[in-house]
Amino acid sequence: MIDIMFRTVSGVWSPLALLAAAAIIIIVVYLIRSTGTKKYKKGTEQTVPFFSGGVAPEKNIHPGNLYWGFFEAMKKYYRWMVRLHTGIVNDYIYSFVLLIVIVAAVILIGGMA
Amino acid sequence: MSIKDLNRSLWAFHVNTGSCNGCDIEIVAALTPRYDVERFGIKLVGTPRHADVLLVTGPVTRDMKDKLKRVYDQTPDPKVVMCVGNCGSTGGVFYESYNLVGPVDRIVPVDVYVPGCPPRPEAIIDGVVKAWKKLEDAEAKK
Repeated sequence: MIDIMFRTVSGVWSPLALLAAAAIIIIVVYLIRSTGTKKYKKGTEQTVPFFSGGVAPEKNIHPGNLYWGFFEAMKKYYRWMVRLHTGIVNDYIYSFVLLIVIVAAVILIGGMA
Repeated sequence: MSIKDLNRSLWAFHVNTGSCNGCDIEIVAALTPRYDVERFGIKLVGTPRHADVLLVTGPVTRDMKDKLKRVYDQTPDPKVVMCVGNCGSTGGVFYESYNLVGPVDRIVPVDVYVPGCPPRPEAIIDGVVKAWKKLEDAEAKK
């Protein structure tokens, strides 16, 4: 038998044990899933999201919409940030140089003080 | 009549198609501690996707026609439709109103009618038991 055992400072583990655990978990999940029923007819209203009887809109509410208040409050800041990100490399280099100048100035002024 | 083989709870989805809320209140009354149908596993669910029974109240107004049809289509098979109250069964006091397209059986097939204005919770529970039996028969045929 292939002996794959790794000794660490906190004990011993084997990849085979992990694979065995994964196989057991997959089997348990499969058994639980197989107890379900296949009552839904594919391609009919039965598989369409329930929207209180109305037609489900194509544009749904996404989890990201939960941050609406956050984005609304930070709108000015984001607008400013988005404007800076032009996608032009020269602009990024300029801002990088500007940042270096500011950092250097802070260091120099701080060093002289 | 006896219920033998349906070895699971019966979940119902309630659709109000223009009811005055009288029948709806009686449905809720069946869930209160006095009647407590939940002890038999009968409970209201929030989506037709989980329901075995559709409890339909109201005479079906024009706006509710498509919604009722869609909710019916979205309920998985086998399903049973219960019409609770006079309005859903015949139109009741709103019979031949210009704004109605009901009664319910003009829009979706109805399996159990529970007459009354509103029907008492005992009548609704009796209807649910009949629906349960129909569902059991439907599942046995599968």
